[in-house]
Amino acid sequence: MMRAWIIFSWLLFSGLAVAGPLEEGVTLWESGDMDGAVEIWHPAQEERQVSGILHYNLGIAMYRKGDLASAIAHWRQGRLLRPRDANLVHNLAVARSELKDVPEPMNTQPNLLQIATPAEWAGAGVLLLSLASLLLWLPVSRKRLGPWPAMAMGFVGVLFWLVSAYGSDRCQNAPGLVVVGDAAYLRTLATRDSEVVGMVPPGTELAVERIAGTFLLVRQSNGDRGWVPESAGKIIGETVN
Amino acid sequence: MVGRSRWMHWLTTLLIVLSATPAVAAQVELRLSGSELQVGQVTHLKVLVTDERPSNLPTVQITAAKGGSSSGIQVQFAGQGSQVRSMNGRTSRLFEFNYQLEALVEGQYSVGPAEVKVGGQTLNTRAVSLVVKPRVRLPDALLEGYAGFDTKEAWLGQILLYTRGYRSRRSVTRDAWSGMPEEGVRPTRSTRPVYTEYSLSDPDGKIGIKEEIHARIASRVGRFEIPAATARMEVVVGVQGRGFFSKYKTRNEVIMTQSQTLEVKALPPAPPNFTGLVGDFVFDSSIEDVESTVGASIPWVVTVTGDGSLQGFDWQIEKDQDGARLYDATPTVVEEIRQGKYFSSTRFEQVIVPTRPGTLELPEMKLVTFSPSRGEFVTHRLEVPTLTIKPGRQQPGAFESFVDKLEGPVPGEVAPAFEGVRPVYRTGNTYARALGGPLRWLGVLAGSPLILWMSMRLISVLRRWWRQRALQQEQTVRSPIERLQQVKPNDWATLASILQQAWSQSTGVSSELADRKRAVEQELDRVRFASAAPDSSLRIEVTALVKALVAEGRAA
Repeated sequence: MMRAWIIFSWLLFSGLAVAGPLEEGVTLWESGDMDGAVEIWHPAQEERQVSGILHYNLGIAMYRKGDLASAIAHWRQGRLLRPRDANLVHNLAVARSELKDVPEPMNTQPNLLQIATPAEWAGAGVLLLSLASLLLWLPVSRKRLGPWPAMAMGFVGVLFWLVSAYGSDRCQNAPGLVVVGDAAYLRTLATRDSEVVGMVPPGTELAVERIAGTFLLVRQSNGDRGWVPESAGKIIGETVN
Repeated sequence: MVGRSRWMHWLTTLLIVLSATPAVAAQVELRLSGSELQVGQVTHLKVLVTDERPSNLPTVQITAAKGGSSSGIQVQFAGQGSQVRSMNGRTSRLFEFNYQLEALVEGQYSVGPAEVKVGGQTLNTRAVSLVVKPRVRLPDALLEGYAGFDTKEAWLGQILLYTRGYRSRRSVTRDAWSGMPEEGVRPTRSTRPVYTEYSLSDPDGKIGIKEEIHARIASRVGRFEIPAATARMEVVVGVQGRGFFSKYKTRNEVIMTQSQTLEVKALPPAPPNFTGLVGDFVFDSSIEDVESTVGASIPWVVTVTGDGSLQGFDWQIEKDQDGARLYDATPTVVEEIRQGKYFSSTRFEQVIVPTRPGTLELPEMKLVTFSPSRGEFVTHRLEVPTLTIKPGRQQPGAFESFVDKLEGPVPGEVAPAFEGVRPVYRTGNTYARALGGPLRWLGVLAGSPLILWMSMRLISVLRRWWRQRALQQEQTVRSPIERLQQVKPNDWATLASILQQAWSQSTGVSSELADRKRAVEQELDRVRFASAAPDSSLRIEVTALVKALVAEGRAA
């Protein structure tokens, strides 16, 4: 039983890959080779979905390079993967405070996903649903406890499952966008030659309302909406499930 | 050994936490449900002690006004309880002592103070007034509302309390009142309305009371018609359904109170030094020490309590006095409704700093307020005792300057510091596993036995319900004989249906009857579908056959 629990926890809360690139990068980082560390961490990011820890470290590297917008993008992505990490929240606040003339950030991370990731909600839901099913089908437990505790547990499990599904849906269909590199132009239509309705500086955190090909319909905190090309920034949360 | 050291560690931590917790003085409060009773009615009284457990049961004193007997109110202890509550990060323990007060003789009483012994100290609560009126029999379906100001005549600037509420013997699930009166009055800035809900035990049945009190200031001179207040009530008239799915059946009722006239009078011409305060106030002044030295601080506290508004009132006093200088702090103002009465209080904490030795005599203070109860301006005199000021002691001392010793920041390039962000993580996973999707599918699998069990339960409940319904329907089907008595003469379709019903309910029918039934059916079909003229004996034949079938069925 203990072994099964350990395996389940490992599956739930850890990546399956051995943490190689992270530690290699840290070794270089500590020897003062920041660029070398970034060279190792960046390709890892393009291979597969990286962990919140790697996003955190990449964010620090970008911050030290002076690229606040990229740092914010990494930390925003990291927050989705490690919602209870206080260091991420702190660093994000520091970077935001250093940005000047940038509109108020749009927080696209649902409140419940600031407690746990969709996978963690799903894991908790699976546990409760399994336990509820077991309690209902085992005659001994049903006789001793009656059906109501199991049904209540099942109800909470279903709620957790729904939160997980909702969170995953929000991440994938209503992600955020952090403008990186140059300022992005907000356009009236999803084409490069349509009328420009505004400009957003790098570091601006926007909410994505719709994705149409390589263009995104985004909304600013002041309510302004417009289309920007996908290449204008980093999408936050699209890969979180 | 390790276990012991761990325990010691926890114990030490606990002791540190406990010693760091600030000592809080116990507080005691008396709360009475309602201020008016009829003879025979019972209300509730609570004595609440915060933070420390009392060493005795609180004793509640009852005093009758105007020479009456205090035995007109019977007090009975009804139990005690305690609870822990946390507010703004501070945890406190509340000890609650409950009493029942039964009104036996009409009159006016003062309930309290309640006396409690806490930690070797005797604490007293304030007293509240209770009026006992003669018994009037209230209707069984009592539902009545009341609304109005506490007075019909007021002075400009006077605080008025507007009370509205209802008394009911029936359960009220919702109530919505019409707007507050606005003519001639305005809301106070800081006093929050008080909402109370309680019940009285009456010999004829419990009476629920819900009322709210709002504080208003008379703001315009004139005679104002305060319109009747209207309340829409949702009254419970029964219960619908059974068990878990039951719900209250309600009916909306509208109650209306009586309109009222409010006359706001202008204040008479004000004397000089009028503070602007309208209400009955008490001024109190206290000085901590009448002997001090030059340069020392002598706290001087002036408190003002009353039943009028203190908003905007400031203690105007000359700061530079002969032989002293006065320093004041921001006053704290409390304005609230307590037990149906308006209460205001402010506290001015000042410091007198004597500037020369000798005798210090501060001038007498005069404050003028307007008393609504007397209808005239009242001058309050605040006398400050004569202070004896001694010269300060001389002691050797030296000035030392640090100006030249201070070191400025080192000029030159400062390396960028990154203390702003926190350091990198040294260990952890590089990749994240996308487990959300598989886990949600696993959730569907894990939940399917639960869904299956619930579906089975639901089906079984539905089946039981369906059977019961069918049984009920079966019981309500009328017999063929009953139906025959009500059928119209030429309603051949119904006659055929009755015949069919009698046939289906009978068993072991003889072949003769079966032949007769077949023949009659043919004849009925001919009449119904072939438009043939019915034989005059057809109805008689059907009736006889149905009766025979029923009789045979019973015999079988």
